[in-house]
Amino acid sequence: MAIRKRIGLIVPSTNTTVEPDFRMAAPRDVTIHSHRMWMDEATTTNIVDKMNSDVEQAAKYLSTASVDLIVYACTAGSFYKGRGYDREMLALIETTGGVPAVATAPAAADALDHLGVKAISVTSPYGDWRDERLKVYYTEAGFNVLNVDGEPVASAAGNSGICDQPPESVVEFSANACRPEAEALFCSCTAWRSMEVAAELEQRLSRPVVTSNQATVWAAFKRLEIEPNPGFGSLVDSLAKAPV
Amino acid sequence: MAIRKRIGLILPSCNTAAEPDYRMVAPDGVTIHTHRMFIGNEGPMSEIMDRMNEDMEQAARYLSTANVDLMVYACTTGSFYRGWGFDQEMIKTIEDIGGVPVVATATAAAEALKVQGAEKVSVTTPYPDWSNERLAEYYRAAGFEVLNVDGEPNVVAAGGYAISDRDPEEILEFSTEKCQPEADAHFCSCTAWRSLEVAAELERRLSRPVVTSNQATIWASFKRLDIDPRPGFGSLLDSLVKAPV
Repeated sequence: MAIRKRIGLIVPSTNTTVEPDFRMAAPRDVTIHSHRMWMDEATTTNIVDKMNSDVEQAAKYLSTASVDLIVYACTAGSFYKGRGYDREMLALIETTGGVPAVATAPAAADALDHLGVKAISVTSPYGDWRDERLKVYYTEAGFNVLNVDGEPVASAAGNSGICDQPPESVVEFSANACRPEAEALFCSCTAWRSMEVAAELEQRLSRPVVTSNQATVWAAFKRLEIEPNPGFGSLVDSLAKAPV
Repeated sequence: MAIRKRIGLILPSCNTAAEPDYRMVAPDGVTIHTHRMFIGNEGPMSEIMDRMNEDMEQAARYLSTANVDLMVYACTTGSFYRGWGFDQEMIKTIEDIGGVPVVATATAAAEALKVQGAEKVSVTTPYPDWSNERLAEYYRAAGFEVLNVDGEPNVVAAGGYAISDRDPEEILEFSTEKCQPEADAHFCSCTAWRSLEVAAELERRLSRPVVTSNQATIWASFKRLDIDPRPGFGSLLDSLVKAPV
């Protein structure tokens, strides 16, 4: 029995969706190990600054677990200061952890590029300044961001409450918010349970759907040449070697 | 779809066995969330453990923001090295900060051995002598006759960070050899050691109950939250399975 491939996750402390999403997509011989950055129910830029002050410690702790890759799994935390800041964060994690790093906001941009789309609709559970910053980041990354719609119930539920919203609500809201001219839909936020319904949304919308966790899983698995469990949308299925 | 049951794990930073072990046994609808305590790889074990436990309160605070239903202190040495009683103080501290019930490994393993009706136990570990001696003291204070505590020499030589790299087959072979004939039960200690995966096979070979650190910790967690585990990880956990195995 060989040593298993190990993925280290850096997650906001309130987030209970990233860990199960990675586990659902990971085959048995890949193990997932996490550490948290402080987050509470505040939704200011200050709390994101405070959260990101924990990044270096998280990378240091995860490096003692001999992980093969470290993942920064927060979308807003990697887009809120624009293109460029995400690269600095990846460099800090790679230097501290001594392994390759992946972060959600650039992974989602890479995923949308990989799908060859330009015009995108975006749904999120934010409903605040984060929707604006998201638009700035993905516009800078070269996309035509048609709309960014925050789901009001999740937005009112707070940062830990986002994880309590059933995936069915994510489908209904996102299916209605996707514009006819969009080439792809992006469901943002690693705390939102959108990956479980990505395949269903693709069927309903007849176009590719990218979600934060799905894009992060895709970037991580591509880097480590891991074959995912199928069923989480065309992006992740594209890495499956066996026919889906 | 209902809100899932959430378990918060407080783990030594180098441990890569506890999270997959929980994952293997947990049914759909139960999710596992971790915060780590920094563990060094050099110097006296007592100092390494003291430093690690300095992170315990922070871990409880961070996990409390995730609305977990239970917190688990998942390190055996960290909960036995200061003796019987210290583990209860530790559990109390985490409960006060986290506001939810708490389970700790050393305590859970003692309860598990009692439930299995064991008085005389053989123990295998990946530990150096210092930890093996502390282990024997703790379980004697808990009321057991500890027949032997044997550290597997290859892993002891490889060091703490390498414990999770060891093959489960190695644990199976070593533990089969070291369990004393008069033992009522065998205990494989250490949450970083991949013994849960071979617990059922070890029970077949030894014809007596086998308790492992992660198995006992999962058992105590699932019992508390009324969770039905996946079968196949030894008689202790299978006793919680509601459907016939």
